[in-house]
Amino acid sequence: MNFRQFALNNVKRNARAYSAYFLSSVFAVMVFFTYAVFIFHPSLDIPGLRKVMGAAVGIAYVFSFLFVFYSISIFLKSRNKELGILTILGAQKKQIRKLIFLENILIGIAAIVIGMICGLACAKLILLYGANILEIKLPFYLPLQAMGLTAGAFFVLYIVLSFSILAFIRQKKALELLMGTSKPKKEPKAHILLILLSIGLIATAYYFSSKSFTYMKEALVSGIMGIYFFFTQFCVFLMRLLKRNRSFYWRGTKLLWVSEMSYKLKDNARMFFMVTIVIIMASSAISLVHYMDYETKEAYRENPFAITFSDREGKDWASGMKKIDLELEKAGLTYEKVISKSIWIHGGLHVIKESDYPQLAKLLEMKVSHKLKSREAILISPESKLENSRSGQQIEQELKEELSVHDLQIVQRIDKTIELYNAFVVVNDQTYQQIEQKQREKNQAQQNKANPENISIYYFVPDWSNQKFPRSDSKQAKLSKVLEGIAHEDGHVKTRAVSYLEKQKEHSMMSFIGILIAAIFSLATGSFLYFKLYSDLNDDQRIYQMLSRIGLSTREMKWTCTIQMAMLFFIPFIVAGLVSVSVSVLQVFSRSSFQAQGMLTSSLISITGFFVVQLVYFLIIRALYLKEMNKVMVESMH
Amino acid sequence: MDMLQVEHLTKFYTGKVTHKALSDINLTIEKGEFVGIMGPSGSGKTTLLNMVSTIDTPTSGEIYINGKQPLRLKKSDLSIFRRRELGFVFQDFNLLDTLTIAENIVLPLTLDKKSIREMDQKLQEVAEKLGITEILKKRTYEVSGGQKQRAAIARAIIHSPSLLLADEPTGNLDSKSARTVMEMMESINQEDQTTTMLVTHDAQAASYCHRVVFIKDGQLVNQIYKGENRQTFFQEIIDMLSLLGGNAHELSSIRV
Repeated sequence: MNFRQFALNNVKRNARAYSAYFLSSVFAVMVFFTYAVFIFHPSLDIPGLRKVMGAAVGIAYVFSFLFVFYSISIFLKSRNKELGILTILGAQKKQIRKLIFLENILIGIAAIVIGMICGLACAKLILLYGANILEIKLPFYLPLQAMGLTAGAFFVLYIVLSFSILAFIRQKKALELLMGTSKPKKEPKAHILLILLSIGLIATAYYFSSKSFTYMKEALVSGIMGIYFFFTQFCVFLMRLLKRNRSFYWRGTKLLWVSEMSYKLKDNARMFFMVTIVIIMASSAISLVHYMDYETKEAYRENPFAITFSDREGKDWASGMKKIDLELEKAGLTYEKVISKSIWIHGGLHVIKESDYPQLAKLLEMKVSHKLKSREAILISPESKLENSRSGQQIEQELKEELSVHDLQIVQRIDKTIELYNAFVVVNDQTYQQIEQKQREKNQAQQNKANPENISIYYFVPDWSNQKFPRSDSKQAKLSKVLEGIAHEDGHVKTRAVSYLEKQKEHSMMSFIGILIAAIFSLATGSFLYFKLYSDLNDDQRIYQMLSRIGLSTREMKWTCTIQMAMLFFIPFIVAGLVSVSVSVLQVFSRSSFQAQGMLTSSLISITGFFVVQLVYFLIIRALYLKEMNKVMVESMH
Repeated sequence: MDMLQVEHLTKFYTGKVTHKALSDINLTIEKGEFVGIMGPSGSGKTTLLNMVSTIDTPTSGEIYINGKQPLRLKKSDLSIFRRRELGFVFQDFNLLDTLTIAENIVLPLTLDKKSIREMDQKLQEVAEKLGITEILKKRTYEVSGGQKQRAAIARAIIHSPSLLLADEPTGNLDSKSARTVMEMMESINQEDQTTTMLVTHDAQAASYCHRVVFIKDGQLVNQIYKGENRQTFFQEIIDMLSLLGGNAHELSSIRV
């Protein structure tokens, strides 16, 4: 048996010891590969999407790295004794390093192959699900590119890890290796300044987030730092406080789990921190998508016209209009249209003349009240939107400035929408001509030959109600797509249905990616915790066997183990939940906008979703763990 | 009054080969007595200890502890029984690293949800008795092996158990610490009348007992009582062990 055979046999014949490490490696490869298959799909050649998914794969890779690194170090810890024996038997450091290196490469290669095979099955599911959400056909394909990327990335990962692990081993002496893992650790301590810092940072973050979105960056930075110190310092401090309160701490099984938790909290503080941040980000991303979805729906409802055709040059609009008319007639749809001339002055402000106004007014059911005097204007713009949001206030301000430039006086304000994001003012014909003249001079000064007047044609289609959202496979959607495709020099067609559906697609794509990223993190945290428990199992069994002898009942053991596991699993959720909810509540109060309420509900829903997944994980791992612990309890020995 | 009464205790381990670990053991320990159990490896000492400490069940026979029959108790009541009636001292101390020495000692009382005042009072008492008052606030990695074992004894007696069971308490200690620990156990036995059963290989440790019972191949073979002098008792124990035919090197070397 030469050395290489020894390494191979070591892995082959000790499969049980290697299986946990191997399985976690397979898992990491599988997740990464599944993502890669998805982004390299030939039908998904959308640049924006690819960028986002590329970022997701990057995150997945970083996580895989941490994950494999973590499992490797736990795995090696559990083999300390074996390495110690080899050292005593006279194995050289060089040989041991070679052994571990060979083993890792062996496991790595096997994990890559098997992970990709499992990943193919997973990828099929993801493609099906993705096709459903993105409404693109995603047929299964032979993902050579993804395979290459996965194999390359993970091979590099294993080589790097193997080398960095060797550095670990070098430091240990044979005796340390033989004594194994059970060295007591010092009691975790917190520094008072850092505790105060964590409170200060979190308070600052809340202060900033209550102000406005401009301070978003400051709120984020101080919030993230605050949460980090919260877990590494403040939690330790809290546990110490709990311990100091003896009438609480010295009672029943609390003495056991509070003391153990104070160690575990410190050990897992960084993981808690990461999970918390990810959950907060995922839930705010989901609330953001919810908010954007709400806005899209609002925009659809507000837009009175199914089709808008606009021609900046104002020359050749008639032929374009004819094409649209023809298509609509072919589909057997009745419609009304208004041809409106307007001058676009600045910042989304259009001027139309009074003589054109009655036509529009009739369609939009607006009253034509009185004759306008010179420099008098009617402003047509939805009020509700402008007042609430910050950008709305800005637009309002610009609008005022623009109106004062042209010396216009608003005599009436009508709360209606003609074109989304654009405000209209109606002036009498004489004023209109003056403004047109002024604009033309301005254009000429800028060497711009464009006609200041442009033509918009608004189609009102009674069959296509703006209160009912179109499905992507509906007739309206299909015809709208055809209409938008009508090519015309300088003019373009926008349809309400297509704008809505495109936005919808964007949102579902974002949520899809969000869910995928969240899924990785949630799976990874569950697996991290499982590993942690698995590696501490022998020590825990020894302790609980002793406790069982001196009279700890199985019920008490179950309770102490469950409460500790539950804390490990759910503390990040509780913190993330509190942060998301409190930030949303803060926004509801400080902005009193009802969109914030929608965001609150959706962030609650997303956190609940996470929670349910984690709960299932928790229950499974708890059952496995308790089964192992039960074996050492005296009561089960009878 | 008999604190422990073992009647016709027999234990078979059935498997592919049936192995008789204990056969027809009868043993009585009176209240306040300090009894050592000795015997070569595989003689059944530990099996006997496990039966008495209710973590194993005999094939036949009866055990009475303080007049109660733990074997007749429900499984769920057994842990309460152990917690209140028995005290354990282990070879490898088995203190929890996450707790301070004081917390380790009061653990049996906290599990029983006793009041803080009672716990404090008893803690002070046992700590003084065992001379570990100074180290109560320390953690397990900050104290020596002998101190750990004394803390473990404190934990075993803080609830004034009916029976103190010690399994090779000196096995992991140097000779000086071993002597201190045995002196402590002796004085606890004398002052508090704590009935003690000590299982050991160590003749030096056994010489602190009132009586030593010898087991070989699952049977009680002999017992000897201490006379006036511990030194002569020690010599008698050594003689008995060699008479039993245990290999000489199996016995620990003489410690003085």
